Amino acid sequence: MTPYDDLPQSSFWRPAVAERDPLQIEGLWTPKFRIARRDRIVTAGSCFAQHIGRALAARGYHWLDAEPAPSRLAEALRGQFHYGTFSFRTGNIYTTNMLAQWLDWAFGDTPPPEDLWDKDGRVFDPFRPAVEPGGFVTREEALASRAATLSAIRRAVTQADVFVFTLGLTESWQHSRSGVEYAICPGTVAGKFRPRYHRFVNQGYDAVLSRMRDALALLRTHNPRLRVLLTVSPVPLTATASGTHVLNATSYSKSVLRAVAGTLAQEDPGVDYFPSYEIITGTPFRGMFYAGNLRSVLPEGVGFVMDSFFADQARVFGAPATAEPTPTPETRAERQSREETEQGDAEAALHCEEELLGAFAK
Amino acid sequence: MPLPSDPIRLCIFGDSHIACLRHAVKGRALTDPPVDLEFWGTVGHRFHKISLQDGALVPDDETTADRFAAVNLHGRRRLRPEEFEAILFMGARTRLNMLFAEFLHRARHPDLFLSTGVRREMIRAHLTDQRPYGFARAFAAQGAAQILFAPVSFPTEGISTEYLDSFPDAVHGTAADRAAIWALVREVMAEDGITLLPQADRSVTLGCFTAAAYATRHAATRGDSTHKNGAYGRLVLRGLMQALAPLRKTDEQAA
Repeated sequence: MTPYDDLPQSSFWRPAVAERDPLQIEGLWTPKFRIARRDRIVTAGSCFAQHIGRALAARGYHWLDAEPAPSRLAEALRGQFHYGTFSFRTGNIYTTNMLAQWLDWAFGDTPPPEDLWDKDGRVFDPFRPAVEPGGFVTREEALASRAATLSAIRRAVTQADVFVFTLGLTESWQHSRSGVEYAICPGTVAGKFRPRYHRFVNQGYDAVLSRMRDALALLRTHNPRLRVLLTVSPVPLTATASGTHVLNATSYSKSVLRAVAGTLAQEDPGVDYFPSYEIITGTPFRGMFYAGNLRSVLPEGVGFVMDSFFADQARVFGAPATAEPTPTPETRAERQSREETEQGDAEAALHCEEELLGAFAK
Repeated sequence: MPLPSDPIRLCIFGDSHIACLRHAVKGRALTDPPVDLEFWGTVGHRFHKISLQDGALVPDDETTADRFAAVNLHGRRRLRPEEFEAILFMGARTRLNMLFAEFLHRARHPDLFLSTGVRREMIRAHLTDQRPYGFARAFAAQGAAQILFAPVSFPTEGISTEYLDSFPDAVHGTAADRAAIWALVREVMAEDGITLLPQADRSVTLGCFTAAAYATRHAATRGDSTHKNGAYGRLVLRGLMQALAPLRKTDEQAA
């Protein structure tokens, strides 16, 4: 007898992977906790997290949008302004340090620095430069918008049942003295790169783990019952400043993030890891879920990931209760039509006729 | 550009909101600058029966054409921009009320902050969705006449409460708040070659309502929060005359 004798098939590569159609590979995740449709789910992190939020919402789960778009903003423009992308308008949060930083600013005594970047007379927020296409009109506006997002973070964290965070990168750019981390390298989208003030930091395992623990502590201080689900983005680095080949840099970065997620999932009963990273990047899948640029994940890949997510939840906890049909939100065009109709009811039409008649009667 | 002695040929096009302007000009010559004025309009619900054909606005059926012709001195059955130096779109089914209400309400709540960029895009999208605004844009693109646009006025205070459920704090909007929103509307319209005539702020009360003094007759008893009186029309006219002044050649230019 050996310890391997009684293990299930899923423990062995040949029957669980090599001899299967990749799309039939299953049981990759044994979730620690049930995620019910009524649970309020917050999503944040690297760009892959946005797919998770959308998929949850599409399946009738309660994805929490703590900073919703104004209803009159055209649907096509919401994504451009990062409404509905994550649960709040931080844009991508690539690193655990950045997550802890946002939570510190939202809940701590330290206000965020008033650093802002200028470009062509517009103002960009260095911590979320993509949320306002073309930049803010004034510094005051940029700071007011950031304050609204911090408020949304507070709402999201305190109201959520589940916090889904996708770890994206280890490489980062920070202020040399303060250690404040920027969302992207200064000077790439806006601002100016100054070697004296800006430094490259490729965060190692200890730093990434430590800052994720800081983030978890902050989350639980303000919501002790919050459950956390970690994923690792399967999207490779666009560029590396590490001096190594971008392929190697990607492997390093993702390995660190994966190890941190694994460590936390092992040590913390309130933290789980969902293997979307393995589903997209694993060798059995032969890169089939990547677009031609070998970076972007195809919708089919996202679909397969989310199918696995729900299948594994159902396998462990049973099928979820049938979703109550959620009323489809009124579209902007529908609302406009309704308002027009209300304004154009019979009585109003009569008033219009009377007005014209009274004014133009010969 | 007309000579100093020539009146500016102006058409006021619109829905029932043209009535207040008609009241304002009744028995009054428009001399500063001199204007040769025509109205061309009908009730708003007939606006879906007009369309652009070869650059002109043309009623789709005889009944609608008759309705438009009825308010026009010359019985005009279609509107060609090249026959005027200026065309004012008055009301023309284009309401900005709910946008104002939302922006003014949100301005009172830091958590609901909206950037200039977002507000601008909301205004742009809303205007683009309005068919009559599309007519104005098409006219402006022709370059034949100056196109001005006065959106539907805010509802009269005390009659309508249409915003208050969704945007209760809009009532606390200030003149400065409104001016900032109008500036965005002006910018968006200017990109389309259209000159905005904003609602005169002296007529506004409670954030984005029109003061009762400008209501049409018996508005309260009829429950008509939409239409306004001649006094309101005179305010619009004042803005209109100021906007038209540059169209008139000076004596030096004429010489």
